[in-house]
Amino acid sequence: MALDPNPARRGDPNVAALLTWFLPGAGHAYLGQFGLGLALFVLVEGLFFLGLWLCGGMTFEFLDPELRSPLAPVLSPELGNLGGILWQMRNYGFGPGIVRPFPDTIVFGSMLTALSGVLNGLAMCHAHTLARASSAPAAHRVLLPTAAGFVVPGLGHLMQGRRTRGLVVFALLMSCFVLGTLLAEGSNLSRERHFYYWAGQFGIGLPGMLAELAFGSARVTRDIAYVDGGLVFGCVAGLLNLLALIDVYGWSESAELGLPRKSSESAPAPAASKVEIRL
Amino acid sequence: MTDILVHLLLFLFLGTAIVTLGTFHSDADDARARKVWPRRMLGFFGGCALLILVMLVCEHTFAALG
Repeated sequence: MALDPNPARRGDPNVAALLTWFLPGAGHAYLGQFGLGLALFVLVEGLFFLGLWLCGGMTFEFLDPELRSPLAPVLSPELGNLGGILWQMRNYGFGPGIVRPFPDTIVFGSMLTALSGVLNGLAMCHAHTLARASSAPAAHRVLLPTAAGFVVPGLGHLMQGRRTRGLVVFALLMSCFVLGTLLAEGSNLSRERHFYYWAGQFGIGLPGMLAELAFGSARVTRDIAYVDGGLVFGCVAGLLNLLALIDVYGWSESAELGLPRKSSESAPAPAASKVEIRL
Repeated sequence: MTDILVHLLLFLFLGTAIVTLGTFHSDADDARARKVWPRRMLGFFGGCALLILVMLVCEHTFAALG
């Protein structure tokens, strides 16, 4: 008879995360958290469909015909909400194949659909933790700093009491993003112009969204000398913030679930233990 | 020349960010991360320098127009 090494486990963490990926909240429902699952479903899908409505389903029409491929949705933040992106591609895809004007609200709408993908990614992490945690508040405590790290890079580390690390993350990532924006003269703040770079840059979180709402989609009337450098800086800043979020999540997960902390040092071999089971 | 210098400085800055965040990702403990950071920096920039050297040799050997 196989004994469950973790008696507190509510279900399979991988199943919970996969269910959430396909349908927001489904993983939580699978773990018995129906109310939370419903709230997540409404939040994630509400953001997604509001965004879709605001952009008229035309997000992928930003792409020039030669850049349109099945990889386009895979390389967009919306991938975090798999059910949503599949629905969007089935119903709207790359459009009817003719050039038509974009709605005025497309920038904000496209941002909301991307945000729903990130939020569902966080919901997947929460479901995965919830399946292993002793209580729901423990899973919330793991997720909260991770989500804070998306709001402001480094904030998650600060919430965990890792002040130096948080400040280094904030200084490095924000200076990369700001420098990239200056080098590209703001042209990086446009999904229409740089679809794939924008997807990476979206990982910088709220600062990126605010900057785009304030200065995005500016008219470019001449060659920008360092535009390529600027795009790389912005994109790398966003991708590195995702790495920082994994670090935050791993730290909280170790603390709450009693797991060993990640280290590049080779861990000592576990001592052989003898478990006696009395029936 | 100024252009090369600017590119080099930008690369150094971005490389530092990549190595630092990579170190944070692999080592959750700050003391351990501080310990391995210089070695990782050396490895990253040394590797990049080697790659540049190989590319320059290749360019000079196979693609020189002069």
